[in-house]
Amino acid sequence: MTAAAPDIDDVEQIVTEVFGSFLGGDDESLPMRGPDTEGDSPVTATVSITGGWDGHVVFGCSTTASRSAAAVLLMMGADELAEADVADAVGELANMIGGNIKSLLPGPSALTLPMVSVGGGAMHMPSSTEAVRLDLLWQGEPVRVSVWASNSDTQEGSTS
Amino acid sequence: MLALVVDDSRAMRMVLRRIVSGLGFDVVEAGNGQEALDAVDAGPIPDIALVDWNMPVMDGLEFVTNVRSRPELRGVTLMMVTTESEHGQIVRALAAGAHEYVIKPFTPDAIAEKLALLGLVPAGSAS
Repeated sequence: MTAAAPDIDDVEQIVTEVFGSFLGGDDESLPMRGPDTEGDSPVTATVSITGGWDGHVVFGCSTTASRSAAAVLLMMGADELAEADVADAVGELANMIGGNIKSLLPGPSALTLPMVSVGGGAMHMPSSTEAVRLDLLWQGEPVRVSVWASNSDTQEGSTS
Repeated sequence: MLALVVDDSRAMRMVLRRIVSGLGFDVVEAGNGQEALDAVDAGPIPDIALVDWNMPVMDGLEFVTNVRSRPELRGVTLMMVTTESEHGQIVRALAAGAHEYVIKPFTPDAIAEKLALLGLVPAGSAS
């Protein structure tokens, strides 16, 4: 038996609901499954889940996608945005996606505030294993949601 | 009518501001529970506070508990607007004194319908 992990289709539904609610609800503006991509997203926001299930949810996207999302949420021109605006918007998207993914996992558990990296380097998730990776395209730009289970959680699950 | 929007995300405050101002509310914003208490103390007292749960400095549950402990704020309606969707957490928030609970993501109509249920906007205000 392996540790619980959300189903990729459930994760996609959550992302679709978040994007549909806040970034434009028509079908053409919703994210679609995209090709698997290698490498790290230049913009990432991570929320961690602790409690009944331990791990992390990472929302990543291109710089263009992050600025487009922030512009919609804040009703500003993309060229008017400060880096803090982009970080705030991407962090809130991660918060909503992570919070809803948490509801699919064993609880009770707590969700941390988002940690955002804009233009940062490679993402490191020590002592964790990627359980779900969902690559999407939104407005032609890559968006990725990944769910990382802590290894201690996985080991506990694998012994039962 | 005055709405106090309490969320650590400026983007989310903007989203909620657009929705409730479109329903006729004046809006003040706070970035966490402590800022919200400061805003309430500075006045005017809001008719409703829309409150996130997970925030730095003071979270939404502590804010709700604080408001409900003060008789002079009895008239403030409290609506949690949060990603926290576990049944136990919803129960905790309602037990602490929240009147309504909205889970993110939400639609503008969902907020309007909750406000109508609370008697703060006419029924049918949803688009």
